[in-house]
Amino acid sequence: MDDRFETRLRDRLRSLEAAVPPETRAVDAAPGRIRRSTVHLVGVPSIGLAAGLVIVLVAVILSSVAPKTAAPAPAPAPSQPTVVMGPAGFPVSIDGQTVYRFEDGKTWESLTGSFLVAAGAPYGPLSCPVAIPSPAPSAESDLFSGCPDVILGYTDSLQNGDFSGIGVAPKGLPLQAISGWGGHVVVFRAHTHDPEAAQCEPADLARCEAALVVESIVWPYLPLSIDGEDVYRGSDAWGGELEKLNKSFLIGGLVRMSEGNLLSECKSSAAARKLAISCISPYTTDLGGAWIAPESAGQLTNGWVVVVRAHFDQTLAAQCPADIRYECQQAVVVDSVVWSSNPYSSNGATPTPYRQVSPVVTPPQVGTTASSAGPISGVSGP
Amino acid sequence: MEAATRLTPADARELETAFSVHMPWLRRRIALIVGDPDEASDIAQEAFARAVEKWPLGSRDDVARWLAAVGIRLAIDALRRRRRWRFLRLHETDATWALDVDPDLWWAIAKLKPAARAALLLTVLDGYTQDEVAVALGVRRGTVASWLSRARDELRPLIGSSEDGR
Repeated sequence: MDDRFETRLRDRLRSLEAAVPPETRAVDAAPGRIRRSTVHLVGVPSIGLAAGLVIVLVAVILSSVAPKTAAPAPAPAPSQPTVVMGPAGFPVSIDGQTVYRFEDGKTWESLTGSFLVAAGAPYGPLSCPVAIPSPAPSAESDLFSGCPDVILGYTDSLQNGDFSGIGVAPKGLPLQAISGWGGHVVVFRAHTHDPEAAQCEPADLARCEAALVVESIVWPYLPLSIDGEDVYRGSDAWGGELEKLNKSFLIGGLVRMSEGNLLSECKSSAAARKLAISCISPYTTDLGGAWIAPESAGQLTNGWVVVVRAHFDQTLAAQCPADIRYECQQAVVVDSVVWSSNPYSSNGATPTPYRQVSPVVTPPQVGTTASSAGPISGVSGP
Repeated sequence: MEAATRLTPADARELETAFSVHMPWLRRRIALIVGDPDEASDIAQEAFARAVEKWPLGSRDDVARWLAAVGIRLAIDALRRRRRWRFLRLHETDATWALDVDPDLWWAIAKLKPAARAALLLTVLDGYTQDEVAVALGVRRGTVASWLSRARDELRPLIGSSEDGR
């Protein structure tokens, strides 16, 4: 099949699709306000009653769970939550729901259902002192901290310049999704008393009940889609799936600049200097964990949360020296910034490039068996 | 109300998010098949209502693909019903939005069989393979291949000739 034909056809279909007029009827989840066109009701008697019931069901469900301001609209991105910022530079409530601090475990550990908790995101997993085989699947292995471990930090430890915290349940949000925010306070939706705790051995029950399971990242806000196009997360670039895309895509996350080292391979390769993250100094740039090609990193501002249109340049990557070709192949080349926010500016702090520090693991503070919970002792930082 | 009672609060939140995220593009995609944006809204809502009954569907990608497949199947059904109810043929006024933007392309895809049109959209816009389209539309792979071949043959002069004029 002719690629140019396919590309042209796709572009014109997309233009046509983009011309569909926005929804003008009320579909804001109030029963009775979602109406079907009369002519279509006449034409589709077989669905009329059933669909009506189902649509009302959707409306009832949505009206019971949606904030009044969260009605779907033809906006380029879903409505942002209503955030009340606290003096420490992170939210104290989101959409009216209290945001607990991670270090104040006593306030959230006994809550039922999910809640919001502000914690410091880690840079990566704790390394293990020795190779530890993966445990057999079990409720305990889903809920207990293991090794490598996912540690969330106390919000005040970030402000103090070190990173101390406790482990969270492995079954929650994967490390890749969390570490893209490493070194910054993030608000997570999480829960304790996970239903799977009931399957734990009696001796482990209290520890299982106390395990914190992270469900999602609620703040800083990052759109899930823009104009109907999905926004990949920076962490999505880790798996190699994005590299297979033969087209530009939207990808978003926190812009972070960290200290880098200029490799000798960079001197001899123009391709590497354009693409390899190791070929920029003194700071390298990543977007929620995705490596940003040096040639396009200048478009991004440290500490901002952005969505960019980007692509991979595998043709140029093939010209990189073999030793760092993988960096070139994984380099996200930014075409343009399409959405941005500066969530960490409210405390007046000017974001500066960060230096990774070794985490300081402190005793866990959740549950009634605090002495036995938490990460494996004696591990060292990355 | 069975679906409502079995949904957990987390499910309901996911549902709300999914509705916000997926409804706009699903509606636009369906409008390319049925022409009428209002009818596209109805069909997209119906696809979403079916998603509620199956919820949770899985990952974000799973949700999008599930909605695309079900939404497009419902759109095809709607067009078939129009044929049965002859007074409900495709009206020019349904698609003034398309005629304003790219009338040649609109009429070209409007002439395709609804299922062929759907197969074309699923492959060209959503990147579905022919096998996946076959599963989504409940037909054999060879049928899909035949639809796509004919569709491209019919569109090729239009897309090709338009390049010169653009």
